[in-house]
Amino acid sequence: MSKLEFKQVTRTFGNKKVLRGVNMTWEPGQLYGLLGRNGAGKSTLMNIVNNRLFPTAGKVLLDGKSVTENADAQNRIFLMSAAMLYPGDSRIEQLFTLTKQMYGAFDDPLAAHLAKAFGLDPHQRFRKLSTGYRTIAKLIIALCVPCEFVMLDEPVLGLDANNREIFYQELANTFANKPRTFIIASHLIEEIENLVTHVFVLDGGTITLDEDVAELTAKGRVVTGPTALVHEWLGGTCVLREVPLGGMLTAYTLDAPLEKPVPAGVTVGGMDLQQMYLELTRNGGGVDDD
Amino acid sequence: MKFDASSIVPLYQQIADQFTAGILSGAFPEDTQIPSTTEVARTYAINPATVLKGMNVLVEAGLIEKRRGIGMFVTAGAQETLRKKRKHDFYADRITALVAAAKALDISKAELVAAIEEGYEQ
Amino acid sequence: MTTKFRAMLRVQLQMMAIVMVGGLFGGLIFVVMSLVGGTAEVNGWSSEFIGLYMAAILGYFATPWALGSAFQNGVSRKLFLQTAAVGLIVCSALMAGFVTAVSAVPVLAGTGSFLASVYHLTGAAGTLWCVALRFMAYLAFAAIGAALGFLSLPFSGKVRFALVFGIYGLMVLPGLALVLVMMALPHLVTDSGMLQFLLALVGLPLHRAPQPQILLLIFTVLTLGFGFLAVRFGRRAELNDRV
Repeated sequence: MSKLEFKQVTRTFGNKKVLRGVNMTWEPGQLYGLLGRNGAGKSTLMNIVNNRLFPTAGKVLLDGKSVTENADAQNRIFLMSAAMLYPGDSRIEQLFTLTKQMYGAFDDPLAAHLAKAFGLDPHQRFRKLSTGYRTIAKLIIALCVPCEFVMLDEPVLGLDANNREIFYQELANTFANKPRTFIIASHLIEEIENLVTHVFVLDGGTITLDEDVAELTAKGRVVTGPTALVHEWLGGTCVLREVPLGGMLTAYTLDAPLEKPVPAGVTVGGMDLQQMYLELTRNGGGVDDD
Repeated sequence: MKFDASSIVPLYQQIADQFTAGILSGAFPEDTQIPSTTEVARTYAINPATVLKGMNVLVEAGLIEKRRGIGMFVTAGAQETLRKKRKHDFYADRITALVAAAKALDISKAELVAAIEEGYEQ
Repeated sequence: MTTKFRAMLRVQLQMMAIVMVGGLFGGLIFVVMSLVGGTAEVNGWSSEFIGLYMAAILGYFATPWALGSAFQNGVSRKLFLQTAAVGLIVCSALMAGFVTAVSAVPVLAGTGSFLASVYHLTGAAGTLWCVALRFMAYLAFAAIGAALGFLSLPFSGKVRFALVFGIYGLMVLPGLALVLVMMALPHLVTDSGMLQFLLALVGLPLHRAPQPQILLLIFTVLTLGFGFLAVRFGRRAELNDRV
């Protein structure tokens, strides 16, 4: 099984440095979340992996070889994104065929099942579809390609709550039946936090968090109580943010001293991924905000 | 089943807990097949690896067993095992806590026993 | 030939077919006009320009169109450019055959095709020369179109569309102007040293038999030169909103 390695991946547009040396590794058979604020460079990064953009410096390696202009590597990588790259007058079934011809294989039974589940008519022309159904058509293709690394950039764009649920369920299903690596870049974190087992946070052009979700949720705590008591309990623990309200204090930490007994009057609650992400990236943001 | 992402209880443990509750209540009777990892993962859109981890907790506790080529089954006597364990936990945790709380409030042993008896009569 | 190459080539040819069908339609209008209005002489050289213009559009629009499919399906720039080259060669050959065939029909082309009459190309050898010259000319114009097409990719759609007329002006109109001048003022050629020089450049010296091999050489040099530029620009092409 191969892994995808990022080595100091850098990309500039004019004098705007979007990626400033990204390092991480994507293991086989994983469901990853790639999180980051608007303009953080998630799409740029994925476009580099899929050879749509070239890195200014650094490399993305598959089996130790750069994926850039690498036909063999690109046959094993797929990117579903918001970009309109399919010929608009093609019918959906023609896009399935085209994809099959390009990648040498396509899970036709799954495509038929998904089209039915989402209520998409494969005879329809791509251009005639609504935003939501265009996303669905692209998602179906992404779930049916024979690739080891499938990147989903904003996979639920324009999807209503019902179709989002269908998508998450079908993703879990196909992933269980045929493990491969999915990388999901989405802003709807609470919807994917039970699906992804590991997250990367892209902030300020570098990976600022690279952790298992289980680890994060095991450590992340929201501590509330009288200011003095909360401070006393936390001691020297690193705190992400403190929100005072009168004499009460709410502290967000990834490193709660869980071995110490919690004093009366202080409550310690869990922190979901969404909240954790918010606390971690509160001061960051896209390059435009620099 | 319902899962709480902001709970201190890890997701895999929540899965194990829900199955345990199902076995105890008889929703998953002994010697019958329980939903597969894929089925649970699909239904609740949870990572299959997490579901598997939760299932393994039950396997280790002897509550479910794998029958090759078929799937996971609730073991014979699982309900009894669970009930015994719950009873044990009840005496170990709840009674200790109850007595400690009563002592803190200066409730005498007689008063507490009387209150419990009253509770049973209701 | 890998499956990916075949699939990408199919996409390229689909895009090019759109231009080809459009061009064929335009060509048919000329054919009908010549049949109805008896303007076969005009058609003799207008079909040359339709062919050249179509070749330029094939390079300028149809080739970058296919980039979208290349990006979506993980096709390398190298493979994309290889399939584009094959597609343009196929289209150029088809157009060279088609225009030569149409020009051979007397009722359509009057005394024969413009190319054949100017370069005194007769008989079977003349037909072969016509096919070869047209094929190379279309390839050259397609290469120029493709080079400009890739270069202008970052520009907005409106600018790119406006450039079509620029290409037309740059590539086709000077030739058209030259032909019109020669037809309107036949004496001017003998009087003007500049015109004689220009004509000699394309193998039409005044007091000697025309030399089609010089024209073929010019188209070959243009094809290689702009083909090189098209590859250079094409290899750098990246995803942007315009594709």
